[in-house]
Amino acid sequence: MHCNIILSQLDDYIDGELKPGQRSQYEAHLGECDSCKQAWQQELQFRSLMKEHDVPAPAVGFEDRAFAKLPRHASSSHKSSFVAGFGGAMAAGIVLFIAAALFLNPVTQQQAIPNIQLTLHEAKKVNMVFDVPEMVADATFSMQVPEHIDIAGRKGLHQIEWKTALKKGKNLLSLPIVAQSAKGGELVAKIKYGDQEKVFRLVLDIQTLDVDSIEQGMFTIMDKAV
Amino acid sequence: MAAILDFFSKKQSPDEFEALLKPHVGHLYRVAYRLTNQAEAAEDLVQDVMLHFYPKLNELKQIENLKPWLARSLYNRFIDNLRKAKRNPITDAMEDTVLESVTDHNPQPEHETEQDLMQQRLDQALQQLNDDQRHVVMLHDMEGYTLTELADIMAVPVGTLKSRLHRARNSIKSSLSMEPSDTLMRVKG
Repeated sequence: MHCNIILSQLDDYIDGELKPGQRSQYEAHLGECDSCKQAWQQELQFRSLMKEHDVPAPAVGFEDRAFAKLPRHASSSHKSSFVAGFGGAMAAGIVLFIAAALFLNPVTQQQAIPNIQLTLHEAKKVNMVFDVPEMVADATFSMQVPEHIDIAGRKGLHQIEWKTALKKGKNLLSLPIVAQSAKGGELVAKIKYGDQEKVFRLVLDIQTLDVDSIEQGMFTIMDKAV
Repeated sequence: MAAILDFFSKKQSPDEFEALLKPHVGHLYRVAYRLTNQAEAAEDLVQDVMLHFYPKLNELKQIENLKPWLARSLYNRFIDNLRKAKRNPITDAMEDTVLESVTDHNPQPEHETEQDLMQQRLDQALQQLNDDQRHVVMLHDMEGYTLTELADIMAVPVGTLKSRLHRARNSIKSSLSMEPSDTLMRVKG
């Protein structure tokens, strides 16, 4: 093998990318040629220097903090899956649900049911903000979507339930939905905690014209023991 | 949208997620630091990736080789953040200010070993590379990713990575007053 070929393949040799036949020829040449052997040793020295280059360790307890910030932990942060970035929600339809007396006051409150407009066959992200007065570590959240309204990409899924943590303050849930018929309906969300349940309702109006507006609505809260 | 829907359908075990991710967090941090060059930014990047995948446990469980797969996700997130920051020059300016301020007040150690000095020179040499060259040389030579893995992580052909790596190494060697292999080849040729 010529020295030029040896030097041009030096990276491949060190990285173990030469085929077995090429490798044995390569090594035979290194055994015979001092200058190529020297280049190889220099390259090894350089690689060793690169490998030794370290990064500063993360702050003490980083790993524990990182896992603790996941939404299933009591100390759920603002970056939880439930809270998908409140600031970004404003461009889409948004409904504010305030659970001011959540789990504290069993008295039923009735207020006007908020409504939101959907355009037929057009996906729209409905952002529901649940304002909670205190952190709830182990809540069960359920949602019922009318039969003729689909969750985008999940045709036929109308009843959903999952466990989650709610942080104190505003919790955002974004739900992309599509109206499949002109018939309106009511989306019902429930938060259960212990023997308490709170129900939130949202009227979905369907229209055939395109409306690019931000709807805001009031809410209804119905407390009841379960 | 997919993340939200996955979230709806999840029935996951938190311990399972932690068991799956924990062996990779340290390495993810290293990669994040290589990309961001700041400890706090690296921690934030890793945290973002963890939060992103937390509702996707079932998807994670199906990945055969999680290490490069997570690194690719982290890299993509880093690039996305970088693009967003470039669209927001005010944020960029603020970041630069903070960086300069920290650098200015960083006390120099009284006794620096030869190894410390070499690391400083290497740091300077790395900063002279463009982003593409720096990323490939750091992830390949320092973190041990193969070029095939990096081609997948960075969505760049192996040949392109090889040439970036070659140029990056020669530039570093030149900064460190080491002999680039190209020079040897030209002399001998």
